[in-house]
Amino acid sequence: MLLVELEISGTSYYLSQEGLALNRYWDALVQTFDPPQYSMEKPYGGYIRPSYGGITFFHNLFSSTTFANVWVPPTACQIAIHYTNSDQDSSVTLFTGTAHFDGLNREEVRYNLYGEKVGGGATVGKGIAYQNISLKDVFTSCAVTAGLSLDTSLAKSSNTEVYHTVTSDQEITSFLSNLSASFTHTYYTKEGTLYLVDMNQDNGTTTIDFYFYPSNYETNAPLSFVTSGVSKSSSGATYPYGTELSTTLFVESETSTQACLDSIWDVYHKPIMHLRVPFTEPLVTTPRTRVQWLDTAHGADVSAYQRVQSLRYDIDNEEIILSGEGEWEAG
Amino acid sequence: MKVIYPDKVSGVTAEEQHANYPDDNVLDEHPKKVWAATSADSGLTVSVNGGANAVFLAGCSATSLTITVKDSNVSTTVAAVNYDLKGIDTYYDFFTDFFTNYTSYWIDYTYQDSDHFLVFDFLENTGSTVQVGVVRAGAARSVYEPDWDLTEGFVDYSITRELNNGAFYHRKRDIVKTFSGSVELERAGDYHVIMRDILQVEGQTPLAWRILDYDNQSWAIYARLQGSPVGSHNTRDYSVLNFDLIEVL
Repeated sequence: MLLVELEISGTSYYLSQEGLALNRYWDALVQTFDPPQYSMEKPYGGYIRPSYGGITFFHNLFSSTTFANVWVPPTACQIAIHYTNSDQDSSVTLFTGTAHFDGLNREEVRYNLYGEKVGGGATVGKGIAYQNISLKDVFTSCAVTAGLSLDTSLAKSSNTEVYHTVTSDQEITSFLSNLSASFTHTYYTKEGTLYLVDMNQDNGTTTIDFYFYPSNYETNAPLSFVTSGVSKSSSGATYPYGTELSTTLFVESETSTQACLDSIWDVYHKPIMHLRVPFTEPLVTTPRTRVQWLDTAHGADVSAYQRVQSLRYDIDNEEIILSGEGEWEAG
Repeated sequence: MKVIYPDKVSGVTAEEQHANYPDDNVLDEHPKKVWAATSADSGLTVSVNGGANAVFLAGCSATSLTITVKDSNVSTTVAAVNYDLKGIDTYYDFFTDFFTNYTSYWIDYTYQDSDHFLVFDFLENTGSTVQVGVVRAGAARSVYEPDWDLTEGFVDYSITRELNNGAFYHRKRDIVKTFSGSVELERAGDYHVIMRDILQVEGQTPLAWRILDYDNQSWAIYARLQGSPVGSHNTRDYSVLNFDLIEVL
């Protein structure tokens, strides 16, 4: 059940797609809600970036004297969106931010959603040099710049020495995305904290029994090599019919270069699972959670796990799509 | 069959009300958006403009109540009676549909051509607090009972999806009643009153209905039309009106 708190001209309105009598009544004035999603920027790491679409309301919310009685609809409103499968006190927050007016037609009033800009627009400036500084320490410095707390409990503690001089001003989340991906790390932000996570670490574990919808499994298109400049990966099988993946690294020695390229190769070629689950509690909301399950719907059973790199909350279709790389074997 | 039209309720005052579920909620079109008292024994006074002889409550949690008709001074009692689901009073006829824990009441009373008050005292309750979803009062427009083809069913808004192992995910949502049938009405009279003065004006706005069949079984339902009604002018003076009602929650 979707719960939307919308502030219009200083007054809060409590809305949903269906009339809900909970601790308070949530009026059925939400028409559609685009699924919020969190997606990792590269197939081997980087920023798990949130993206939000829009939300549409019935005209009554703005035009009726029973509700806001503000017509034409206002330009911007503060909004918080929650979800619950049972009661109001158990709701999980999916989004807080601003709804900005997008347009209206005779059926609906549409707003686009804008979350808080992570890092507040901070940049990493041209000329900043990192010489033999660990990945964690770079993140520590940048977290301070971005005004965020930092959690590196699941990051590597060694073999992540950074050698890099910034050649142009870069937005901080993009810089950290490229940097973390080069060391097969990922990061996400949650409630004011930046979490740096090794792609091979579990950020908690959960097992899903039979309670999931028919799901699908795939792999990325094969690579012949992962390259950086003239260096090429050398681990695992080579797929000569595959393409080359060019990447930017932030290391100096050939040994470190090879280690990064081989690690990227390994993560990239892991199978990708797209697990579709109902909106049942507890909701999976933390990236890099290890989700494991037994799928008995195939010719033979499949035992699989993934580390979540993408979450998509499709409320209209009553499903959450958890996507991530992992392992599978006969069950 | 009867329908309250137009609604003559001009206001309500409750003895007590939950901060998030105030008494004005009974004036909207959503029975689930209730007025909730803060105790299991409470009252509601409904102000009604003149020209009314029926009152309807949807989503009422009380199983026993008294209703007192007061004149515009609020001090003079026109008539009062206590009753519960087991009795039918000769002064007040009431019809309920209580086969769920969501009760609708239709109560006829002597026509009042002046402004008056209906004072409800809810005595027994199925929950810890009294709740009422919707109140409507006004003139009961009466037509013949539906023919023997009256049907009753459900529409289930629940969500069901097949899981990977062939079992089902099910999220129960509201299940509402439907009634379909036909009535044969005098074309120059009731047929055009219903079609032109009420249904064409209100369209799919929910109204308070009392459906009564030839066995004197009755249902009180807050419902809207599903689609537009259609009539057949298949006799010289009478027309058959087909209707399809769906409950509104």
